[in-house]
Amino acid sequence: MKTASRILGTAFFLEGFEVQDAPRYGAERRGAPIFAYVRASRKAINERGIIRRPDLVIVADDTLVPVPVAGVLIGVTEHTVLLINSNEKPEVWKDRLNVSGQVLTLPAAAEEEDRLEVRFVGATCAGAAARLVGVISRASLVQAIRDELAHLGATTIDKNLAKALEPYDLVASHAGSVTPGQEVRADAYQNPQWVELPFEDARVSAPAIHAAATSKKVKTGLWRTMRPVICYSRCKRCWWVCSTFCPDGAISLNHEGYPQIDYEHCKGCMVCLAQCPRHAIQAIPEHETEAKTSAGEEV
Amino acid sequence: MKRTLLTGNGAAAWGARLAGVDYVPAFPITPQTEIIETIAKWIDVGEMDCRMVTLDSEHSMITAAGAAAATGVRVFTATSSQGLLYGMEMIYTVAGWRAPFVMVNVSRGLSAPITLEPDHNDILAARDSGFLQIHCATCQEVLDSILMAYRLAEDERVRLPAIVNMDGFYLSFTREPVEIPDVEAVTCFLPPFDPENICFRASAPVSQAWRSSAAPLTLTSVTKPI
Repeated sequence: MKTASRILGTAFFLEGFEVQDAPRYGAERRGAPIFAYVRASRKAINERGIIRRPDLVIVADDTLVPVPVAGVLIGVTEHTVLLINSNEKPEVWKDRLNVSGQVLTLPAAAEEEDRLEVRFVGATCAGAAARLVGVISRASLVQAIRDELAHLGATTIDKNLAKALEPYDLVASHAGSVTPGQEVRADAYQNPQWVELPFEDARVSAPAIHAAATSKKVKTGLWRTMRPVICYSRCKRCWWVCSTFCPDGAISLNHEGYPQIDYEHCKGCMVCLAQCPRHAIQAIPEHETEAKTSAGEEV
Repeated sequence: MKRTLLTGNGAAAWGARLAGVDYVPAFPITPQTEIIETIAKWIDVGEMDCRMVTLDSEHSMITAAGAAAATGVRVFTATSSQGLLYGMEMIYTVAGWRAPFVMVNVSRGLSAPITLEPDHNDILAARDSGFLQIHCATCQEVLDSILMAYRLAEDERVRLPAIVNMDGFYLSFTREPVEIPDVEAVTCFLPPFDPENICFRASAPVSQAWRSSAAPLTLTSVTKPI
């Protein structure tokens, strides 16, 4: 999404706009949700930092919508256009999320058929956004992609161009539906909601920080949006490559020598999936595993 | 002059590049690392003629920066947050040496717990250290301030190290349009460092602000506009 924000930022810049683009890395761990934002204006932009009142919100991965830390709907009003990369219909999302503004979807089919397509989702989002704002020409979008991906070579540039131009055409009928919101005065922002906390001994208020060997108590499994699942019929108990590469020590061996994943601490980085020589590990969206578990299916 | 999109970190790296720095002692820390990475890449591909050395800590890094500046070369370095605090002993020391160099600090909150948000408590801790401080509000100011900081720091009426400060995660990672001045214009504003009287001898240590040939500085000459 950082690349998507840079493509969009450069496209605005090529159209003569003042612009800002910036990523926020959140927990700075592979597998944790991230977002990026773009501001564009004909005038100098003095405001910086996270956008609190977005005119357009793009969700590249619809599994993030129910994840509280992803904060997908923060600041969304009736003015905001919400674009979700999802195989469900816009009406379904509009109803489910109870939002009053315009909701659009991009078909996520390609990524579901082939997970390798996921890496092009940034170009897809940037292409759609460039059309929705209504002020970016096809030529500027193409030039922005060429500029931002110059170091990746012609093949990657061509693939990204195709991935961006398809949604650029797809949302043509909605061109210009994203319009500048009203300028917000600095004093119109809500003050931080301070929470008064009673004084507590540090050992009580922050036991995980102040005591030794407590990392087990910190359930980092909550960060996960995708779950690695070992297919034991394919696992050959090799040299336990998955367990060796797991950066969090979340894969241990059971008494039969099969690896097992500790989902309370697995952050969903998918390093195991990438390393498994037998391709015996699958990635399943977290919300699907919950649905299957409640239906009594084995995942 | 070229107008392009740069992050605050990118603008800082361009400042160092345009200043033609000779030596960059470095130690990595988020959110500053992009500055050092960018300079390292330029040195690697031959676009910058400069020596970069990775040190074992910010304490060593600031010592190396001060010592190198005291020999009369142009020095650049960058740090953030806990890194600035770890080097704090030497911050005061090299300022006392009157060794002129420029350090970028990318302000970030202090521990504990680990903080990945902007906050000025790191740079406030260096307030009375003797370093000049220039605080930036835009990516353009980051680039411009580095050039101005060298001119100020190296001026014989000043001879102090300088910190150029920007907000981590806000300016450091935000791309916005920045005018990159031509090398000729920069060289005109900031000629190569002429250390004049600087003489570094361990056996006979002297303050780098000490002038052997010229008359002693008077209050009038110090307050003369640059």
